[in-house]
Amino acid sequence: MSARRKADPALEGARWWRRMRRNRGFHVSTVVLAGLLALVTVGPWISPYAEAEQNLSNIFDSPNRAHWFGTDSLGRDLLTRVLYGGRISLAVGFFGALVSLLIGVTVGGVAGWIGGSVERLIMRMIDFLYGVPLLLVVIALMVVTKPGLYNIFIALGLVYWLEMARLVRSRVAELRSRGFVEAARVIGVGPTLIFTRHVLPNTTGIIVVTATFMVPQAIFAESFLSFLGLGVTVPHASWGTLAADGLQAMRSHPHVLAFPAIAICLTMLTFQALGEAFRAALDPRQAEQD
Amino acid sequence: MRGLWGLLRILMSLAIVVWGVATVTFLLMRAIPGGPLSRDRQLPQSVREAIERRYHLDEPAWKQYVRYLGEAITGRFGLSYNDPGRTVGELIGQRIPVSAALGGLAMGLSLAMAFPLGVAGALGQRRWPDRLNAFVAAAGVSFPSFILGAMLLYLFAYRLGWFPASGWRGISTAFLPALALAAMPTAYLSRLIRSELSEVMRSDFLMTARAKGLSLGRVVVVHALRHTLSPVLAYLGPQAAGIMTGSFVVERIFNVPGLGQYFVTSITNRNYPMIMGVTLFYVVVLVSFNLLADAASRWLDPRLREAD
Repeated sequence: MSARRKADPALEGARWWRRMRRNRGFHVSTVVLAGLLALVTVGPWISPYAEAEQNLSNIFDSPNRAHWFGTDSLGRDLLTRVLYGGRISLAVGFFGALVSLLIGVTVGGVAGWIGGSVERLIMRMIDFLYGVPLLLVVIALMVVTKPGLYNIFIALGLVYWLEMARLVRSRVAELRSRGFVEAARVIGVGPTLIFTRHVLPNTTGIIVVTATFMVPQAIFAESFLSFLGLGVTVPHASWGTLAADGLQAMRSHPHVLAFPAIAICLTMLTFQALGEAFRAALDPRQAEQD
Repeated sequence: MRGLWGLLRILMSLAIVVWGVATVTFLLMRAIPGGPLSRDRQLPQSVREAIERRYHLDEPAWKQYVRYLGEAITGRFGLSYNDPGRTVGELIGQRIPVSAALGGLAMGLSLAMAFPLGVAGALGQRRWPDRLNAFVAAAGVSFPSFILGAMLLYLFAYRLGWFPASGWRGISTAFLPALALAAMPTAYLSRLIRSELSEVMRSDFLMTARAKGLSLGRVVVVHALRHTLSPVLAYLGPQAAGIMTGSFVVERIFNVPGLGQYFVTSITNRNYPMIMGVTLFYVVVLVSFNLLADAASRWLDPRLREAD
């Protein structure tokens, strides 16, 4: 009986949700995240300045009433730039994580479900890919495909799926030998249907947790690419580009770096907290030990 | 894995990995459009041909590949395109000491911070040492190294003047960049040590140790901590390889002449021999560190030895 209860994804999901609602980190991080999303969505419309509007007579202005975050090296309103940049950075985070989720779940799921020599081959390949310096591959991809938002999603996703594939593989392989899968097979359910109906739903937890941690990783990787000049191109800017620009002028005008840096750190912190909350709710025993 | 035969097998698998990565990198490198000479558009045809002949760029790709592998096996990694007359081996060799010193210091710093934090977190659960541990872990993962580096530079070099702002004059200038590099591993390791240790502390043999009257300090240091070493080593292996071979961003912020910048500039310049050189160097370091970490945890944990 207990094995069947554990295998029921709907029930598992309900319990998981109940534990989530008791978690303080979950509440705080969702509120902060919702706030950030609302700000970057609505903010640019409200702002009286345009994204690339320059005012060369007013460069490196410190934060004041007209420019809450001050202005940058070309007299552009920094608050407006940070809000627009947030759209790009958050989009990179979400879609980069989404692409790597799709690849990772597919590869890991196939490896774990088919098993045998296919599984061994795929896992060998993944072990091998861990050896290739991944940033090198991203940089190479970015150089090949020319900087651009969609290419950033794809390049990051193509590179950061390894962890997801490994985790999904081990979970699927574990589920494959469980009683309810055996039972489904015995009553004549086809392998594809067993996989999509019974196995995949049981991997949701681990996928959600891993994907949540992947979002800040993608944002971080994008800011690194922007730092190298391979990220988003002018006149647009991500938080990474803004921080890289800010770095140049940091010595005399620290505010130009400080605001995008705060935005990046706050976002990374929020996603970390959210991921921790998901994980704690998924595996309460482990979380109590921690 | 016993004796000479085991060693041979390890070396074989190492060679296969290195060869595989070399091949993938070679293919990837040639797939990038543009070449080392595509920036100098004004070059006369004859000069261009002479240069291409000198660096064997006029040969078909497979021939270059075979030539490269043959030379690499004998330890020759070719001439760098961007530094006339200097070999890749020489250029990399020159920077290894800097990157190794910086990386070593960073690893040392992060271990020196992570162990006390982890122990404090495990022993003082739900009290302030645990809060401190959680705070460091959260801060470490949410500050990208370039932001942390910039903050450290601004505060300690520009404002307080405790450290020189940039340049490389030995270990005193290495402290700030090492701290920036150490943040992420420290955050991860302190959490790891905490959760491993708190699990071990609840096990029966440690209860017995406490019950027979050993002090808490002795139990932790002599009996419990060694159980955290295996996972720490498993994490440290690949991490150390990454840190020792340099971080482009931190090096650039602090103006450190390390290896990291070659990883990036060689790609943007299509400096083929340099791309191959740094990639192979990185892979060899990575695989060796993994092997070392593996060997060390076998040595520390008899159970792993018996599993073979």
